[in-house]
Amino acid sequence: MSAVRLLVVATVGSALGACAGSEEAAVPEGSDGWFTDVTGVWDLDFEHDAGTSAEKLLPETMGGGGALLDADADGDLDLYLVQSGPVPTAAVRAQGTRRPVNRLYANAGDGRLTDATDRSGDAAHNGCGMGVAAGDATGDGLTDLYVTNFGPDVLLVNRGELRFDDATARSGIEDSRWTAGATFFDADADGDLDLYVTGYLDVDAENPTWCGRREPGWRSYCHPDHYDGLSDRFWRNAGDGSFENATLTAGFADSDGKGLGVVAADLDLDGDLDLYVANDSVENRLWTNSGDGTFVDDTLLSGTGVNGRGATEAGMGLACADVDDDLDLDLVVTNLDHESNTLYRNEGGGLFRDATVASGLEAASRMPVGFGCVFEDFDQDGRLDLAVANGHIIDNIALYDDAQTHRQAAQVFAGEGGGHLRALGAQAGELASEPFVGRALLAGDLDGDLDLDLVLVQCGGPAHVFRNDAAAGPALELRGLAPGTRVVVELDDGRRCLRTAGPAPSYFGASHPHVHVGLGDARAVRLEIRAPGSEPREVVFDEPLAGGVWRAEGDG
Amino acid sequence: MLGALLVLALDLPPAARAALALWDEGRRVEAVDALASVVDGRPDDLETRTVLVEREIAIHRYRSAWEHLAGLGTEHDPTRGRVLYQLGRYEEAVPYLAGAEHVLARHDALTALGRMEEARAALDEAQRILGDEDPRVLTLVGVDLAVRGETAEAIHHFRAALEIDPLEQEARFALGRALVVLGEREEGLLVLSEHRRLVPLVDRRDFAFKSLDLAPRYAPNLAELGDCERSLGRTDAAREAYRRSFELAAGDQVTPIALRYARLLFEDDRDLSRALAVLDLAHARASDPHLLVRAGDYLADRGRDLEAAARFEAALELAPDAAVVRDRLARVRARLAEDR
Repeated sequence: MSAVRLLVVATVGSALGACAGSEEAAVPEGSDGWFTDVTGVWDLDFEHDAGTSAEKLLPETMGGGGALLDADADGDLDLYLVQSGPVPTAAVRAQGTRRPVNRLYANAGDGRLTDATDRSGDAAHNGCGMGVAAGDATGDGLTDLYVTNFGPDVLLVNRGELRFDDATARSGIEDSRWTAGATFFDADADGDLDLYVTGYLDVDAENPTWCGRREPGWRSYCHPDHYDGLSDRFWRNAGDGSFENATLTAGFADSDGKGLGVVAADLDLDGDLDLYVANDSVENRLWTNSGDGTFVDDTLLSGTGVNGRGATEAGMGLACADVDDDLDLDLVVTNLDHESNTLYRNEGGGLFRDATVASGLEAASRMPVGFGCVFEDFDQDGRLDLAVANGHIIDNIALYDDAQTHRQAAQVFAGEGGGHLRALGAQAGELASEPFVGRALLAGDLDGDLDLDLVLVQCGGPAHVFRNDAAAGPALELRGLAPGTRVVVELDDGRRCLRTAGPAPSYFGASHPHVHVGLGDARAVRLEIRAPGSEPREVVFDEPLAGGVWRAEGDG
Repeated sequence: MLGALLVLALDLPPAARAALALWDEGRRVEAVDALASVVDGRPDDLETRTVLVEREIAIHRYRSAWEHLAGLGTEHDPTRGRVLYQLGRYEEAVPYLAGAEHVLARHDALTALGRMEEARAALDEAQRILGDEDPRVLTLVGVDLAVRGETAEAIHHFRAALEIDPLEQEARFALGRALVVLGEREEGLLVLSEHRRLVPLVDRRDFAFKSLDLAPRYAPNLAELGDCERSLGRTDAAREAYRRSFELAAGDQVTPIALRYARLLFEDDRDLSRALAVLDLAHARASDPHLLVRAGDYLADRGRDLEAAARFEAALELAPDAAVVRDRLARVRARLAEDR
């Protein structure tokens, strides 16, 4: 079907010819909006247990992670959801109450989910869970999981047929602190996936701090300023199932940043994967890969540590995509109320600029507390859209600020081209019609119709799955690409779109691993593919593709 | 103005005046709840309603303030603008945001909405109203110049803003960025490094101010502000915050606040006598050996070993098992013996 040859010239085209559709976003006839809640229809019955206590321990309000992965290698996306439960203080342990376990749901291929936890082996982990990273850490073709906890983390190796083994001890990974975001990525281009894990806060759960007023009902979760930050850790994969703590040798010498989100992406377009870390209430960090798996802190020069006003924000979730269609990768970070979600536009040369206002995100995102976020082309018009899960940290926030609520509606912003986003409001459908305590937000094609559905995980409430009813055109899904692979898709109308292989991290999670390209009325004629640490290669389609699934194995 | 407020207060019904007394005691939330009850029972009492709205704004109850603004006249439109702005309802807020007090909010609301030409007009208006010496105006004009590519002129504005207010963090960040853009990479990185150093300190100070909005007479909040100001090298502001905090401190609050206040007086002001006065006054209120030990340390530091020994001995009477105090006492006694 296709011819493959090495690219002679690896430079990308100008923004003029970049991916930017022009059609108005459309909603299919008979639908009430872009996303319809099909939680019951698709049999998702997960309810996150926040483990809420009178002591208001901060881990209780941060959890709600999950991953979309093909756990049984049958070609569809299964769902892994992380439980929290009560913070395991001595008093809680003494009670001996059975802890809730993480759950694995197998997909029947049409979106219907079956609880497969009982046969998932050690995936039914019962730590005080936070988030999860997904990736083939062992190189056997199956997707493994790394679960971050308030307490010991676990590496779950996929043994096939939905069964996972706890390989933490064997791997050499040991981390019993409060960890949060994590990502598998090939840092040193040796063909295996390394692991970066953010440390969050040093909270002494046995001696909880009282925050807020002393009157009954007013006790509040403490601001992160009350605690010291924890350093992040970088685990280098030795290729034999073991990992080495290479945090210092890789250059992460000063990463005590209260980290929540992390994404690996080729931000400087030099062929290796850099790291961007969203930190809560202290500056975010941009770590540039030197090419050999060592990293340099380029936060200051890049301008990505703080917002355009020079202020730190509450960095929680993040997403990375070519928002402005200029064929490099931009960043968006979700933040607290009275901060906006911040869009950092990649200006090239290692510089980013806060383009939140110019993008149209500023006003719409100032009041909600943003968590999970994903950039995808949900309506498949060729332009990336943004979906954000919202929900406050503080359950009694209305006492302190009556303009705020704990549960908050999610938001969808339609891409309008050139980096501009338009808040959809009610047009987003049931995703935005009911308030949630939103945390992870995961995108993936659950029902096999080649558009991207959403899973919203709540903290202390039921997870929801939303079917995509927005897709107005066909899509091309590229599978089998290494995480972080950059793909420039050339269309027959001359447009060029940059997309990257997932899984995208959102907040505490992992979205689908594929590259999803909305085609609108166009057809794909050529791909420029650059896997991390590899030379660029080109795929030319003899017959332009009008949609469907393309696999990277062999010659595609 | 004060006279008008007094007249207004006297016009209020007794229940509202009682609520304001609570407010003056620092019991702000209770005061607002009480005022709201008065307004519920007297919906036509516009004086109490006005007082309630202002108090609700002060404790971040903007939604309630918006509801209670209903029924008040157009003279309250600027307040409407302020409340709508805080509620994030920028489109609705803009028409009401006028005058010196709100011109920067108007600029910010228009900017957030992406209405950049109107935002520029609001900035021009801010320059006219607030003058060219206002650090916020200087910064915002600089940002606008930088966006237009007039980087050198922008740098001039950022430097001027920082001359007036060294904590104008947006100016410092923008200055560093502009220098980098202009090719002055080394200087730009130095400025950005200083910005990075100051960011957590300024953040902490902002947070302390927010806490004070809710409980302005809560001594630990004032002490926290003192800590922030001291960390920023703003000794006068820190001293004043500690002084007010110490005045208001009660019970367990006294010792930690006195220790911080005394440290500033001793280390920053080099004023041993005032530091001792604070510690002694605190000890009279809290009877805490830590205060005596700190006083002894300061005295010993200045070579006044006899007085230091007296403080340590007094501390040991309160904490006989404190080995660290015994060690201190032994050291000063040894020095006294040498002197003899």
